[in-house]
Amino acid sequence: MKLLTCPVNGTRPLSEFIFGGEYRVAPNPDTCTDAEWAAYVHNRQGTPGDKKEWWYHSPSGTWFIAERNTLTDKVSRTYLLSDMHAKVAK
Amino acid sequence: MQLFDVTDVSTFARYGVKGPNAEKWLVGHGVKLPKSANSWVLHNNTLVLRLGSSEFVIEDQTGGVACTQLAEDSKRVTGVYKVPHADAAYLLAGSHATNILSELCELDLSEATLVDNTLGMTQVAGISATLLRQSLAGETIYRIWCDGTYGDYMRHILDEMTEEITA
Amino acid sequence: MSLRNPKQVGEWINREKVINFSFEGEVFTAFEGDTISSALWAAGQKVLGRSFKYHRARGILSLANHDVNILMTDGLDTNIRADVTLVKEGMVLHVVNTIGGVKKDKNRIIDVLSPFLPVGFYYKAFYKPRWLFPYWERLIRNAAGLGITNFNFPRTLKRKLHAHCDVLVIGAGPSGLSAALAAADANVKVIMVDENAQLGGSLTYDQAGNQASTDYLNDLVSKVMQHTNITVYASAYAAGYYADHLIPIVGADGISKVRAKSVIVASGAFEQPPVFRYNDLPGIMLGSAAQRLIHRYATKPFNSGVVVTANDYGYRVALDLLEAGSKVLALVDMRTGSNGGLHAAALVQAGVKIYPAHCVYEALATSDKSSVRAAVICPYDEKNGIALTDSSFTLECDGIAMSAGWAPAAALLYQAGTAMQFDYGVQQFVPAKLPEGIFAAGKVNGVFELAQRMTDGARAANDALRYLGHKFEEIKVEKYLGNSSSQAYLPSHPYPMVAHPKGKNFVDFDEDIQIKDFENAAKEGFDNIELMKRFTTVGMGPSQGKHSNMNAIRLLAKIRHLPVEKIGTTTSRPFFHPTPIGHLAGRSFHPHRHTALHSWHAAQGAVFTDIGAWKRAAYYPQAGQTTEDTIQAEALAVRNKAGIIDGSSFGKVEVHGADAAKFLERFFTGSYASQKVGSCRYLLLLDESGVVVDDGIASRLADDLFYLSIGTSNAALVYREMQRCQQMWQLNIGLVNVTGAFGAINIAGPAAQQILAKVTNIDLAAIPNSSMREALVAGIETRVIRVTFVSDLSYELHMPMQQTPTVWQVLLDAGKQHGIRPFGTDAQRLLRLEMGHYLPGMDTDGLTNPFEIGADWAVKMQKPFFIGQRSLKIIAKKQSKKQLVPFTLAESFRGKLPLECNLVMDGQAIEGRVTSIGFSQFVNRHIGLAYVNPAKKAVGSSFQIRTDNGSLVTATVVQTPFFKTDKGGADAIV
Repeated sequence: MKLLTCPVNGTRPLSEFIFGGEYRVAPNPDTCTDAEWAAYVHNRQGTPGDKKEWWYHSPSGTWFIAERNTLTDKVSRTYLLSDMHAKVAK
Repeated sequence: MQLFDVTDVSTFARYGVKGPNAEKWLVGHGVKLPKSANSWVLHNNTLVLRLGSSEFVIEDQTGGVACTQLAEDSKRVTGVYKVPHADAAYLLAGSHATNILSELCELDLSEATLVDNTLGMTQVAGISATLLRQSLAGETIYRIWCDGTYGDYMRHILDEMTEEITA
Repeated sequence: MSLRNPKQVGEWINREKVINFSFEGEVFTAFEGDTISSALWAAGQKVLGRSFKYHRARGILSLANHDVNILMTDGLDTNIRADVTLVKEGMVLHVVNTIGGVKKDKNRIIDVLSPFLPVGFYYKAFYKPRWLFPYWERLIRNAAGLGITNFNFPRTLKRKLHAHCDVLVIGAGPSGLSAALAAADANVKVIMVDENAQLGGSLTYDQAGNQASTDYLNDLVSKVMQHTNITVYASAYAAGYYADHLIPIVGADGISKVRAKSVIVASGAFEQPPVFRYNDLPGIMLGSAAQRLIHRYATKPFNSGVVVTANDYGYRVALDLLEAGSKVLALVDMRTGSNGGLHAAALVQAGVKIYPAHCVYEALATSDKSSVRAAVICPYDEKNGIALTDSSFTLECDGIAMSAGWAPAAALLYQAGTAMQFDYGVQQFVPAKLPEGIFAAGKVNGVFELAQRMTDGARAANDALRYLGHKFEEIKVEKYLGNSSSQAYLPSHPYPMVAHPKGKNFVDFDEDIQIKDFENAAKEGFDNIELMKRFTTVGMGPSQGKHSNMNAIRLLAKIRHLPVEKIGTTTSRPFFHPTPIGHLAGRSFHPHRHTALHSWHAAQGAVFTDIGAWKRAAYYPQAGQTTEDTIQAEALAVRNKAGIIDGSSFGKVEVHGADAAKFLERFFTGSYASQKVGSCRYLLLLDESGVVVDDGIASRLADDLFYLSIGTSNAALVYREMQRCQQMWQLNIGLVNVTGAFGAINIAGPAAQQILAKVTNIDLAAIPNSSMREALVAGIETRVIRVTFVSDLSYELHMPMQQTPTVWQVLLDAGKQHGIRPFGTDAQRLLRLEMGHYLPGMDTDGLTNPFEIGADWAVKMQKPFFIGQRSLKIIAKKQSKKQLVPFTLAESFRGKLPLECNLVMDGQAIEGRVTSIGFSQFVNRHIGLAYVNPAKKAVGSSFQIRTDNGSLVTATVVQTPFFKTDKGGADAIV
C-alpha cells in the first residue's frame, strides 16, 4: 500500500486517507458563460502528468493538497491549501 | 508483569475545546498545555492532548480536577468552541501490548518513531483513534481513544485478543 | 534399505528424537528436523508422488519448496509440500491426486496415452459438441486437481502484524548475511527473512566435499543472531512487493507486513534442470537437492549414480556425493572445452571418470517405473543440442544428480519495477535499473563466487545506507565476471537440452511439458512467451515456473532463432508462493457503531440493520406476529398513539462563529441569515453540478451558533465537505462534529406532546412546528426540535449520548398509559413515505436536481452564491424531463407488485422509475414515489409501471401526505 504524507500528521498508509478529486479553480460563476461553467463541472483533463489533488486525512480531519504525477504515481509534495500560494510563489 | 491487560477508562472526565483562541482560553484557566502539535503533557493528574495545533482534549485522571473547573465556565467566547466528548478510552499494558497493537495499528510504535510525549491520530482496528505511548512506573503502556459509539466494537476486539494471549 | 548416513557436522536433524508417522498406509520413522521427503528418502522410499498430468512417478527434485509433484494430505490438511514440511509425530500421509495410492495409481494409464494428448489437446478436443462438454468437464476435473478441500477444516486465526525497519534483507545466504551485518553495524534497524528453518542459504549445503565452510557459516550466523539491530524471520517468505516498500512476510503463524525504508533482495537463484528423456524418474534430482539431502539430512541421494552437469557446479556436487559415500560412476559434462576448474582434479584423483562434451541421452526406468535404473550416455553436439547416439553406452545406476544453471529468484525485483536485462557474461537476467530504495545482491544480481557474494552483500548494504542518508563512501565493485579460476566459467548453460525423437524430455515438471510441446505451440502461432505460457501451461503449475521458465525462454529463443533477451520473461505477480487464504483473511475487523441504547434494543430482541457503520434497530419482533405485521403495528402506533425511535445515528454538527449563517448560505440552498434564533430550517445540499446530495435540519441556537442534523448514511461525507469548503472559504467559523457525542430520540404521534409534557420543564404548546428550544427533559439538558418527518406531531430530543437511556426509559414510562411503542427504521421509512417525504439517495440518484423532486421552494436562487447555484441556472432554462410524484395503486389491486426500481413506461418508452413503494395499513393502499413524465405530474393523472414479470400496473398520482392530517387518524383520501 502506498504511503502519503499529511502535512500535519506525517507519513501514513493510504488507508488513512480519502481522495477528494483534482484541485481545480472554478471560473467566476457571475461572469462565465454557460458553456464555460458546464465545461468546468463536467469535463476533466485526463492526460497523465503532474496534478494537484485534494486528500483528506481521515483520523484527524485534515484536508490538504498533494502534487502527484498521475503517470508515475509519485507524490512530489503535500501542503495545506493555505500554504498553496506561498509555495506557488517560490 | 502480566501479558496483556486492558483498562477501560472511558468514564474519566473529558473536556474538549478548539478554535483560534482555544489555547489562550485554556492558559487563562491555568491549564498547562503541550507546546507542539500532536503532543501531550500530564500535569497534576490531568492529561492534556493537543490534536493538531488548535484542538485540545483535557482528561482528568484519578485525582484530576481540571475538567470540572473548566465545565463551570459555560460562557461562550469568540474563537473558542467547546467539543463535547463521549469517547471510549483504554489503557493497554503488559509485555505483549506492543505486539497486540502492532496487529491493530500500522503506526511504527518503536520509541524512535513514536517519540515520548507525541501522539498519533491514526487508525486502530480500522477506526479513527488517538494513540500515545507512555512510561508509567517503568512500564510501557499505551492509551487509545476513539468515538464512544465504537466502544463496544473496540472492547470486543481487545477482549478477544486478551483471551487469546492469556489462553 | 536405509540411505541415512552417520551423524555429521551441521545436520538439521535431531537424532535424539525419533518420530513415527505413516505414508500411504505404511509405518515410517524419522528424526526430528526431517522433512517428509527427507524422512521417506532416507527410508528408501523413492516414489513420493505422481505428476499432475500424466501421473508419472516422481521423487525428490529440488528439496527447496518446488517439488510440487509431491503434495500430500494429512487428515484435514491438504496440499502439504513434503519437500519442506517438517514431519510430525502421528502424521497419516497420503499422496494427493492418485486413484489407488501412489504406487498403483490407476491414472498412470494416461502416461501411456500421452502421445494422443498433444499440447492444446484439451482446448481443441472438448469444445464441440457443446452438449457433451459437461461430461468431459466432470471427467477431466476428476482426473486433475490437487487434493480435496475439506470444509470441516477448523478456522484458526492467523494474525497479521505490522512491522517497520530501515533495511529489509530478503534471503539469508552469504550475500544476505553479509548485507544484514553491514547495515546493522551502521546502527539501523534490520529485518532479515529466509524461507529456510536455518540461516545460511547455499552455505548450509554447497560444500564441494569440504566441511571447512561450516565454521565460516556458524560464525556469520551467530554474529547475525546476536546483533541487537537485526530481527530474523526464519521459516518465512517475502510473499510480494507492494508500493512504497511494503512486503508481507508469511510464516506458519501469520503474516507480518513489513514497511521498510529500503530493501535488499538477496534471494538467490533456483537451480535449473538439464532436459533429457526421462529426466523426471525418481532418483534423478537437481545437484543442489542432492547436496541438501547430504548436508541437512545426512542422507545419501543414491548409492551409485551419475552426475550430469552443464556448469562447474556439478563438480562441486560430485565432491559432496563422494563425501557422503555415494559412488559416482561418471561425471558427464555437457560442455565442450570446459574442465570443471579446480575441482576436476580432485574428482579424477578420487577415481571419478569425467566425460566432457557428453550428455545423458536418456534415463532408463526399472520395470515398475518406480526409479531410474540406468543412464544412457553419449557424445553431445553442444552447439545444436543434439546427442551423437552412435557411440552411446549405458551405466547402471540408482540415481542421477543434474546441474545446468540457475534462474534468478527475481520475483520481488520484477514486482518492484526493476528493469532486468539478459547478461551473457553469466547467462542470466540481472537487474539493469533498480527502483529507488531497492537493492540486489548475490546470485540474483548475477554474482556466484562465494567471496564475491560476501562483497556484493556489503556493497548493497552500503548503497542502501547511502540511500537512507548515511554518509559513506560508495563501494565500487568492478563487474563480477564469473569465477576467476576459469575463463570459460558460466554459472548457467545457454541451452542444456537434449533432443530425443521419443520425447518425454521434461521442461516443466508441474505440468509434464516436453520439448516438442513448445515446438508444436510455436508452429500453431503461440510463439510469444506470454502466449506460449497460456497455450502450453508452462510455468502455470504450483511452482509457477521456478524451475521451468528459464528453459522455456531458451527453447523459444532457439525455435525462433532470436537472442534470449528478445524473448523476455513472463510477468511476475504477488504472491511469490501460494499463501493460504486463512493467512490472507487474518482477524475479522468489521467496525460498527452502537448508540448508547444498543443494549436496550438488543434486550428487546430488536432485529438490527446496517446503516453506514451503524447498527440500527429495524423492528422489534413480537411473538406470534409476522415481520410485516410488526412493522405495520409499529407505524400504526405512531399514527394513532405515540411511537419512539432511537435517532442517535443522525449526523450532528455545530457551526459556531460570526460567519456561521454566511457559511450555511454558501453551503446549502436555503437562506439562514434571516433565520430566527429558536427556529429550524430545511437544509438541502447540492454538488457543483446541481445534483441533490443530502438534506437535513438547521436549528439556530444563537446568532453565532447553528445545530445541524443530517441523515445517518451521508453524515460523514457532508461533514467532510463542510471542512473542505471552510478550507477554501476561510470564514470566521468553527465546525464541531458531535455525531457520536450527542444522542437523539424522536417521539412522534398524536400523544407525543402529552407524554413529553409530563417530563419537561417547558410549555410544548408554545413551540410551533419547525422550531427548537433548549429544555430539561427528565432533568437532562436537551435540545427539543419540533419536526414533521414521520408525523405531524413529533419532537426530536438531542442530548449527550450517555444520557439517552435515561430519557428513553422516562419517556416509555410516561407514555405507557398512552400506548407508546418503540419503532424501528423499517416503520420509520414507511411513516416518512406516508408523509410524502423523499429520501436523498433513495428517491434521488446521481443526476437528480432539486426541481425534479419538487424542492424548488428550498432553493433560494436570488442568493449571491451557493454550491450548485450556477448549474441550476442552466438547468432551469431547460425543459424538465422527469418529476418525482406520489402515487397509489388501486385499492382493489391484486397481482404482481411493482418494486423499487421498476420502470415507469409509456408504451415502449421508459419515462421513469419507482423509487419507493410500500403497503400502508393506515392508508390501506400501496403507496410510493416514482419519477414520471412532467406532463403526468398533476394529481389524478395515471401512469404505468412495468413489474418484474412484465405485467403493467396502473398507478395514480395523489397528494401528500397520503392521509388526512387531522390528528387522531382519518381515512385515506385518494
